[in-house]
Amino acid sequence: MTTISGQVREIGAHISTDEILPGRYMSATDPAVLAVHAFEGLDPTVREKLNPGDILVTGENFGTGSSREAAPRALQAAGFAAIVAESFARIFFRNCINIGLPVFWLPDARVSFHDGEMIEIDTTNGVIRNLSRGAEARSQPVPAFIQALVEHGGLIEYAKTRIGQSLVFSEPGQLPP
Amino acid sequence: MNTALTFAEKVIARHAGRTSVAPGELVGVGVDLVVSDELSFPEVMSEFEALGAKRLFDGSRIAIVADHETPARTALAANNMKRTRKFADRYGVGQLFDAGTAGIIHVLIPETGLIAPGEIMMGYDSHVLTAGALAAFAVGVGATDTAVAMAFGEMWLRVPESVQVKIEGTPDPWAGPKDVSLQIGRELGQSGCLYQAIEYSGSYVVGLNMDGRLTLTNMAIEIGAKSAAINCDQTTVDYVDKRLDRPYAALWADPDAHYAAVYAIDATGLQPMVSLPDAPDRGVPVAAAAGQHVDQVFIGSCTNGRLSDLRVAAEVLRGRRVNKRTRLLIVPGSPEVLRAAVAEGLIAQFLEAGAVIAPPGCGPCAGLHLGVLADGEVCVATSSRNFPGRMGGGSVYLAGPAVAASTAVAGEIAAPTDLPLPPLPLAAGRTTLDPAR
Repeated sequence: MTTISGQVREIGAHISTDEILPGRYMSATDPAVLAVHAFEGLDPTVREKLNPGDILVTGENFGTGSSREAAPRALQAAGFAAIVAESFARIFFRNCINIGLPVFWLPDARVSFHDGEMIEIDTTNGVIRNLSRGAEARSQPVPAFIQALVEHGGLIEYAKTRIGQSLVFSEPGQLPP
Repeated sequence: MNTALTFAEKVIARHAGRTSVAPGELVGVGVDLVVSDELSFPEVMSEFEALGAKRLFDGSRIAIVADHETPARTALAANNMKRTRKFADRYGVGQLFDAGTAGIIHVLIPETGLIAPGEIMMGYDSHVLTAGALAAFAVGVGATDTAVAMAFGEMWLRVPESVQVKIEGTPDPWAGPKDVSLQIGRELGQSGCLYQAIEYSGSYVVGLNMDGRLTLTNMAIEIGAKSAAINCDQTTVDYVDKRLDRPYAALWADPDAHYAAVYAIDATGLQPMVSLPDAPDRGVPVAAAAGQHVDQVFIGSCTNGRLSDLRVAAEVLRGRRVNKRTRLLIVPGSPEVLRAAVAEGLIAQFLEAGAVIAPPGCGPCAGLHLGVLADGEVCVATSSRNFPGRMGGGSVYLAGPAVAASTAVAGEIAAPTDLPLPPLPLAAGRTTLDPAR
């Protein structure tokens, strides 16, 4: 079981990848460079308020638009420990998991968690506790298979262990032997 | 027990070695085709090398297409392409489309016969789902997924819910599949089909040629879809059989399969549309935006860069000139499209009208080159996306080729019927323009 705790940074809704990281930075790979430009398309002052370990809370269709991994990498480099969104654009959701950035779906996320509050996420059952207000909400549990990807630090780290064998994604929740 | 499966469920089940799958399940599937554009590929190469993979699972089932910043936009782009060519040589990538063979990946791949009905295509670009028009299951993924698929020929995925979008009725002659797509976006919104596999059907879809079908499936990403498909029918078979020389086995949804939703879209009398800035689901009839001054018009992209789209644009531009206040950029989607456009005299007409012809590729769509906007400028584009800042400064309206071409002539947002007839004589026996050509 893993818990992720941190302070909420609530940022908008329907945020596109162009706002998370403008197109001209999409070829950057250095985390130090990506961190500096996080959310620049939306508001260049946003990153000045971020602290490492913050948890991003945001509205619907987060990460809509491009499939570029640079966008979630910018958020990871900027220090976010996890993202809780009312819904995700699927490629962005997938990219977050594949780079080992934990992501959680929760309708009404911005009602349950406000900017500045402390929250704690239980990744096994998806329960998210609002430590500042004493309430809790239930996101979708993370299937063991995806948990393994995140715990290995991402798909590449997991796949490295399978070189020379076929990569078998076995029954839901089970890693191959 | 026979479970009735949707199209996506059927294709996924086949590739997972299962008799059935259900929405929400995580499964591993074998993939038939792995693709990447050249802007994305350096990241894919880095992931492949980080993986420590020594070989591709099957070089003949991998295609790299240069389209986003080609010919090389910067020294960095040139060096990346050099690295890509070296990688392709070293590992035996079967298909590398560059220089004279370069084109927009989602225009080019369907033309090549690399994807066929019943197959799975995946790759590192958000518009990979376009290929679903060929009755394939096509999904856009990230660099890591693409690198892992190149090494293992597999990917993990979450089985999507399926929905139907049934389109009936005959639109206004100047409204095409892009206008129908904008109407769908207006009705369903950017999250309308979030994470879902769309099956487009209905008499309107059946009547579309493959160019038109590819426009529809391309725009599905802008309503949040994971994948989009159109049933294999005679149009599909006629298109595909000309272009490939290997067997394929099409799949169809079961009649009693379960769908999360069935949307009925009535396209009867649909008028030409534009989507207002700054999102693709803000479609309105052209009249609602008429009169807006426009600095640049871009006709092309993986949405509307095919021969049928250029024919529509040429029909509007014939005998007319681009407005002095407006720049018109026309970007044929692939070498095949460009060759056909030359052969039909379309390029000559575009040049006569005062358009800029750019090499096959993405052009200014993503604000990278060949027509970036200045601050405060307004552009009408036949691409799929108009988010803030996407093409540089300024704002972008989305439209189909008929409205885009009309706008270029008028210097402001306009439909073909807003333009005075061209001064030059029309072909003998014709008194009106024929948008159905």
